[in-house]
Amino acid sequence: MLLSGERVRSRLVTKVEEMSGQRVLGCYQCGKCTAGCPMASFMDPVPHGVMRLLQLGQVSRAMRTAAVWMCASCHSCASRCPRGVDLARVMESLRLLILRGGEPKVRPEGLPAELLMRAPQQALVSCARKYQG
Amino acid sequence: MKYSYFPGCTLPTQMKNFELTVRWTARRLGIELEELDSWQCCQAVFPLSTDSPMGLVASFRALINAHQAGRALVTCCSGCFHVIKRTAHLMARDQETRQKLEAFCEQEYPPEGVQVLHYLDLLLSSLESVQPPVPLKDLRVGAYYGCLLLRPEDELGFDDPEDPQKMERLVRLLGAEPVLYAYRTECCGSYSSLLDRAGAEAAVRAIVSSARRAGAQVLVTSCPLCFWNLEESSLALATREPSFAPLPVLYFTQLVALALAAPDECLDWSAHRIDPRPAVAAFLPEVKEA
Repeated sequence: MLLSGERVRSRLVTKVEEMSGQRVLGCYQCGKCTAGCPMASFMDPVPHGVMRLLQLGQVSRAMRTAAVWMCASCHSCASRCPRGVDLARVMESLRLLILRGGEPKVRPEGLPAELLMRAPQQALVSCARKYQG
Repeated sequence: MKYSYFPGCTLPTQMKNFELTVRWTARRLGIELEELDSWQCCQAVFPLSTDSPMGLVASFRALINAHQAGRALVTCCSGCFHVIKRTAHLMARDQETRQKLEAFCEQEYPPEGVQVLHYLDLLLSSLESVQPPVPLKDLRVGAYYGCLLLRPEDELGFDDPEDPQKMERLVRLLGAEPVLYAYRTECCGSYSSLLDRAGAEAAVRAIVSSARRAGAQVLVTSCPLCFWNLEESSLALATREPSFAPLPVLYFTQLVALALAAPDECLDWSAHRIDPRPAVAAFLPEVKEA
């Protein structure tokens, strides 16, 4: 990967910072977010790895990670970050960049009918808002 | 004292076991809950980007309605509490977003703000002076907080996110024994379970196993999504892994109802797929034969 000032501080990184209200260079890669993330074993790269990608200007790669969708916005990372970076907000901005591009991750009609019948509204509304935009 | 009650989307429909025991315990303890006029679903998740104020509209309106009624807003669902309390917190600090919402809704937000309370806090203060007629003696209860009730602490101000105590205090007031276990503040997987069950199943395996190892007989929650994930994932795990033993899940209000000798018609067990009745058999009301 060839890095340059232009790539590291790209327009898309600025967009992520604006949408999330967080500074990606605030993270000093201690990994505490990953240590406490209940979904980390389903992510590759793990949460602080996604932050590292953003620090290197690799927003498109960060947008292709499973972490973006597996993040349950539980705020364990944000509440424990020694640098006060709210990683849940960073993940949300990556999700929204994808969803606002026009492709929902989940369509309600694509969910199994029996699941739609059984799942409580709170689950369905949350799912639609996080995965449809 | 009267409160404006925000039931949320799930309680009056699929989680009547929660709603019925909220209303019954409130009547029994003299907590006056008056349902808010024309409330809408709180939109379930708090918008985490700086540019999506539309996700705040329902909670903004609910707050104004409560203010117009001259009362604090009370809710019982962790999700509703999380979204509405964070909205109230934001309205006090972000003038630009507040003005956007005011213009969109054509309503003015009260400058003094609106108080948002969780029903658990009301129960704790009411129960201080009540001797439960059916103490839940020897029942070992694992309080499951999950995430929505606790984090972010600076916005919700509910309890210590790393070592919360309120549900344990409630359990003690009811005569039962709180069980501390490692995963009581961990996330259940939340909405991700609808996208990919594996994550929620791993989370629930850790939560339930940890509570069971610590000796819990039942889990107690205030979140319908946690309730659902705990049951759904536990049942799926139990069919695949014979060594996995699920734990029944109750809403905190059901536990209070049992200790206050609620009549059978207030205790709806039909929403439970892991029957808690064997665990709480000693405290169930006697059912009159027809």
